[in-house]
Amino acid sequence: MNLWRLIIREIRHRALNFALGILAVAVAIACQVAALALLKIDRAATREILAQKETEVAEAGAKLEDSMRKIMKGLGFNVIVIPEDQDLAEMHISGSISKTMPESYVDRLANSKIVTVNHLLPTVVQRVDWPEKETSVLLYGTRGEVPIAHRDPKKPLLDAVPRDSMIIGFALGKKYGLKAGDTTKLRGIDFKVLKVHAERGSIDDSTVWINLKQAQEMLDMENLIHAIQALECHCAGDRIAMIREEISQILPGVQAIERGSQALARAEARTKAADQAKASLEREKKARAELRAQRGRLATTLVPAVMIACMVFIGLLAFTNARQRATEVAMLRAIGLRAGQILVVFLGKSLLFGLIGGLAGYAAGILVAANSADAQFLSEVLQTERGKWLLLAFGLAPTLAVVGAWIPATMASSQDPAVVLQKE
Amino acid sequence: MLKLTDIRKNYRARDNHEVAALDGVSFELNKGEFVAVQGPSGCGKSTLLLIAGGLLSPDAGTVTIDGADPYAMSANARAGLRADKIGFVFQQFHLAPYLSVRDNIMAPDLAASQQRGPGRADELIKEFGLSDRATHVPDELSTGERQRVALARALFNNPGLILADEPTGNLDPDNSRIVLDRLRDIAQQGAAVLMVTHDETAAKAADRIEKLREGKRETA
Repeated sequence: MNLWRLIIREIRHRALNFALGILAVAVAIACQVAALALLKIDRAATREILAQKETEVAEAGAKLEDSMRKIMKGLGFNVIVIPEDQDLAEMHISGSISKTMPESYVDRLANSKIVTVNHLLPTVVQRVDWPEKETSVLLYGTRGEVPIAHRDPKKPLLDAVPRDSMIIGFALGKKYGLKAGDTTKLRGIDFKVLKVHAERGSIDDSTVWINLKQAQEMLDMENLIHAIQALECHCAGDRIAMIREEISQILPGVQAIERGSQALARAEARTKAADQAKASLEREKKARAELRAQRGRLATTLVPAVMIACMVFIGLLAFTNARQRATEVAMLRAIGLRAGQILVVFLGKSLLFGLIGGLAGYAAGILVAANSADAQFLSEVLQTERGKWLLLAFGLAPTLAVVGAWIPATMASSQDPAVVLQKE
Repeated sequence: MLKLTDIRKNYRARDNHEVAALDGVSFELNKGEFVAVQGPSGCGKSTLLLIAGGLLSPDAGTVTIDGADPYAMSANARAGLRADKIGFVFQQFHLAPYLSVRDNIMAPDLAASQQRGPGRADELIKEFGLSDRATHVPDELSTGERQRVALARALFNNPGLILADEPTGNLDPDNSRIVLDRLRDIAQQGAAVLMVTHDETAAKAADRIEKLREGKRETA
């Protein structure tokens, strides 16, 4: 005969009391495990959803970048650097520039650490007479783009025009019947027409592009240029202010002008859309974090409340059990059992229903989580957390049961057997 | 075996009034003696038995069991003394309802310093004619059988002192006779038996009768 045999026999005799004990522990542990599982699953799901959204935003961003690049390229040179004393009204009205600056400026700019512009193109631009056609045109001299030293070489927006060649605008080609391959005279020099631009609906339609050196000779502007054209970067904020700031530090005595367009507005709209997508992702992250925190707060309130309620219930069960067994305990004390052994009789029973309840609670908690969450996330979470939760269940459940039953068990073990036996 | 010297025990009544349950009771019980303590209800018989059994500390006086004062010991040592040297028989039997006859008889093995095991239980089962009831629980037994199980349990550790509180109180005459005969046999085998009873017929089965009235001993 030993105490465990006594405990097992009593459990079989009062099975309902034992089953209720298991139930109380199982509810508490199920609640704890389910809360942990759901919070973990929620975290994993959030991580995955956000990762997916981030990928989508990144992909959209990449597409946007590409689209922006195309737009900006399509936009053409949209920044023009001209001498500081150039009259802008004159430039806007006639399309030509009268003030000059050294051609070497473009090399200084190219060799600097400039980041706000790309594709530097030195030009002379002046309205000149085309006596052979009895008209005036806007003459552009260009020598091709000057690569920026600290950047990877980029495909030029505009190729250099070889000496004795010209490119003409749509209106000129149409008016004078010129097409690619034709030869025509400009101010006494024979030029081969390389290309006739498609209609642009701007002053470009009445423009002639020739080699920069040849234009400089024609206009008597050795080593001088009128402007440096550039493509602004696609950067956030007040771009033109940034460009002006940067250029003024490299080239004093010049001014930079931005030429707006529909393309620029489109680019800005897309930038705004990208910003909104990022902001939406941030909002989603914040909302998810708040929801998780809210669930966490609920779990930290609800789980202890359930634990306490279950512990109180276990205490009541143990108290009922101790009252039912008062005479039996008195008899056991009379035949010589020590108070500590009586304590073991009660707490041993609690330990048993704690262990069984822990196992049942763990299983129930996982089932609850499985019914409330995506099975894929549950399986992922279980792979890393199963061991910890089992350990928690088997550590917490017997503790809960033993602590819950402690006071009634102590009362039973310390009851005076004489008082009980005298009542009988 | 048992010596009670000038034992006094008072209880506080509901009106906060002190009532003397035992008032200077002294007597001695030797090995091989079967003594009945007789008296009307409320005369202090059960209190005397609990004090003699190391379960209820007296307000004054000394108790000696086999030369040792249980109330001078720690609670655990006193429990050990009860386990090894005293066997209790109660009027209500106080059997564990969920244990079989064999397990109830073996219950003292939980506390005794020397384990006797199922062999001793089977010996007592046979001796008390309970062989066909060994696996039954108390609810499946007759009243007489239950008292025999309680008696067998009291004898399991071969105690030197048997304390029986109204052991025939719930029994019919036939079963009463069986129990009293067994108690006399136990005394003849060398144990000291102290039985409290209000039943004159039962008391007559003892070697000696000590009468209690209003907490005091009367000379027979």
